[in-house]
Amino acid sequence: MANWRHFKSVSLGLLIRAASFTVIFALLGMVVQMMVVAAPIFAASTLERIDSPEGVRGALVSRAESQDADLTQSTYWVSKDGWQLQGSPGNPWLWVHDQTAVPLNVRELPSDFSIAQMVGHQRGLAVLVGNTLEHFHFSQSTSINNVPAVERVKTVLVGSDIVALAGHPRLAVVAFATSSSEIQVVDFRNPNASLRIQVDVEIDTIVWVSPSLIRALTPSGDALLFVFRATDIGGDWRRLLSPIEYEGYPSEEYLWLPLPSAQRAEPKYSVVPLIFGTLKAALLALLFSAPLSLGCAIYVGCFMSEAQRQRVRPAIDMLTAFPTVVLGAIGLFWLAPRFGEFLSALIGVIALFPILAILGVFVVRGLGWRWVRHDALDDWPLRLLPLVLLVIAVGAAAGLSGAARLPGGSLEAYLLSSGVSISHFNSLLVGIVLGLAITPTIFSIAEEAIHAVPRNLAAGALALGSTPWQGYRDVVLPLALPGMIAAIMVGFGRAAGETMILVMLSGNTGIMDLSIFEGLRSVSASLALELPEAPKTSSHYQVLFVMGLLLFGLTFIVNTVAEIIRARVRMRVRGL
Amino acid sequence: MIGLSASMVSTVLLIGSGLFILLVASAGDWLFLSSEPFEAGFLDRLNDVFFAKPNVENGLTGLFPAIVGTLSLVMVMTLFVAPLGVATAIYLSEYARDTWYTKLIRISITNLAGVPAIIYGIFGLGFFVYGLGGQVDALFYADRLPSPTFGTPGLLWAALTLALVNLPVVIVAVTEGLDAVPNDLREASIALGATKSETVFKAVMPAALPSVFSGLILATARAAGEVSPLLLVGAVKFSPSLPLSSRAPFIEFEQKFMHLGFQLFDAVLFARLPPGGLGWVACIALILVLLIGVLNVTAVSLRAAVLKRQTVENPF
Repeated sequence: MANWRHFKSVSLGLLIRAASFTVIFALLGMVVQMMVVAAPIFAASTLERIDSPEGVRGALVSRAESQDADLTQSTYWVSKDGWQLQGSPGNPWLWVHDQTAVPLNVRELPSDFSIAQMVGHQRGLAVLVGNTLEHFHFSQSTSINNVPAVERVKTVLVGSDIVALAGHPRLAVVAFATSSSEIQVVDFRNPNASLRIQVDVEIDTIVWVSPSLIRALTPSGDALLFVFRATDIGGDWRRLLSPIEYEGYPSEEYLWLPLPSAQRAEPKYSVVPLIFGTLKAALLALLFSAPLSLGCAIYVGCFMSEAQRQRVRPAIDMLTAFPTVVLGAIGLFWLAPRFGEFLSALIGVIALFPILAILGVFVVRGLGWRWVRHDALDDWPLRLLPLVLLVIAVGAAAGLSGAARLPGGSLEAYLLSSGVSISHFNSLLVGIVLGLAITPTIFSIAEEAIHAVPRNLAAGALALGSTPWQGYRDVVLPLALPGMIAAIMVGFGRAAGETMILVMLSGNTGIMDLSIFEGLRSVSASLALELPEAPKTSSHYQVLFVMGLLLFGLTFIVNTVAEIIRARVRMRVRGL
Repeated sequence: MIGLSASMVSTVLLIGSGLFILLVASAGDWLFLSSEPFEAGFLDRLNDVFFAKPNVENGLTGLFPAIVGTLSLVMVMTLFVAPLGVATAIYLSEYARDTWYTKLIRISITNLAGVPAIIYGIFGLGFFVYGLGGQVDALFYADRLPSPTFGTPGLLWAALTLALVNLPVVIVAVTEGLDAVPNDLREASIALGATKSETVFKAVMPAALPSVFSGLILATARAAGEVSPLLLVGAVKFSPSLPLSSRAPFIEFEQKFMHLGFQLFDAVLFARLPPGGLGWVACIALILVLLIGVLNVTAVSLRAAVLKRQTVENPF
């Protein structure tokens, strides 16, 4: 009998251990799995030779293909509007339109070149002049008469002994062969890391068979195959974080355009605009949420009896019964269409609320009404409801009538006349709704911190003759301050990771604009919107996982710091 | 200043009830008063809103599949969360020795509870859908490839992802409940000759049971309102059949499903809503809020019951 009981105990213990280890490993393994998915984006580009299948000779077809694309012979590039580019060594380059047939000189391109090749979806041209390789980019619309504009993007120093050159079909990458039998690949996005392989035969032609396969041909017609692997950021992690001078853009910029609308443009993966948007939304949310939730926390934590506190805390937690998707819908359907009026009213309320509330309480108590008394602090929030309703109504009315008196008749018209236009999806609305969503979180943690401070400290202050407010302000709140800061940090983390409100209200425009009337795009919204569409081995997918890890790291670190602060406060308060 | 902070509490209460009244008013106005887009009487209208075939183009009819989808998702999720979460909490609180790595795991799990749900969503897509789902397909459904069976977002993966989102919440809540059980109880039980598992399951767990349930219900409420991972791992705008079947195990794990929150998201952002769309949106939102509200109230009253019982019955 005893054995059976012990057997049961041991096996149940094993079962519990097994289950909990599964959970712990799943939760911790999650991070590892995400890292594994994200890691290949940082891989350096590679070039390696593979054995060509037996009997594959350089077929005449491929030689013809390469001749066709070789600009040293006859040369053309067809742009959208029917323009063709012609050039041969020693002569000036010409744009020829297929209908008007009027040649236009292209002065931007050097005439003293030896080889020229298209690169990257015919977006640009790689031109070899002496021992330098120059990368030019064609852009469609920046010039008069729709002549494609030509601009130099980058110049890379290479050897002068180049015999064959081929442009990558998708990326700004060229492969070339030298007379000393070396195959080289230069990535114009990251030109310092050129890849080279020495072979033992003479090469005279080189072709890209596919975006990852290079075929080099010897004069006798033998084919050599090379595999080139590169991510969309070319093995340079700085392209995620630093400003980049992209093809077709006049200056260095931060851009998040993973799926450019022009199909042949290069994808742009700067995560900076998204992080900027995330921080902007979270900080705006804190701006609205922190005063409100800390005010509530101070009242509930300091002045309420235990029984009443157990009733009010769940009541405020009820705000969490509004899932963020519902808050987003309310913001989009009820607030955004009349945002001007809402904002005017809100400004009125925020400006007048403190004065009117203090004054109102003063008047109510001065009138001698017995239902707002210092010895019945518990019931104040409920008894003040009508007063607060009145205060809010007065504030909103004042805000609206103030806005009507502005030149132009409304807040939007006034802002527009001073050069600020409110876009339908704007950061301010995101901040307000997001602030509402994180209020219960901040309230709950801050209230716990305040409540943990022993009340007899305040009682001591009261006994020495301070008013209740003085007692709590000068004795309790300083002790609870770190806990309140921790609450704000947790709220910040919650706001940074919130997704639905941002997807629905932020407009998802990846612009970096400090104006609170412009939209934004956050990391979380990008993950939700783009990940289902991204192919699972693409660079886009991997960059999104990198951003997921960044967001994870941000919230995890913020939460950890907040947790450490809370633990220390708990220790300190326990000693009192 | 006391007056000011008291009025802030009132303000928050007002905002909460104001939002609720807004939803009720808009939904009620559309259902009871406006004649668009239905001509028929009120009962027919309710029938249309809930039980008619969902209108893929512009909504307004057929909430029933979304409600069923939400409930089955939450149920399947609870099947995973309840045993695993409670077992982990028991391990951390009763079995694990108090070492630095136990502390580390505890702190990590507390912090994981604050990690945004979308992160779990991308893990769910990368690991469950593409990884595990692809494996399952290759092993058991090879004849149906290349069209995926489990290698695509579906109910099972959505439930597992939501389970991961909520596991830390449940673990923290249950661990706190177990920690609150006085040590004397354990010592008394062991002194009477009970084994470890008898102590845990017959002495400690009954005392902590209400907090276990309240933690579980809170997690369920949170899961019902969490939409962002579902954008990645399974909810769809329209699914021709319910994720239920008449044969065991009665739930079609690989099916895509409709979800109230996703319906709301889609109705607000993408559907071309006809007149009356506002009322429709309010209806979906209201049902979702009521569902979560009921779960929350249950959890809160359970917790209140715990407090009362502990103060009365705790002999220590």
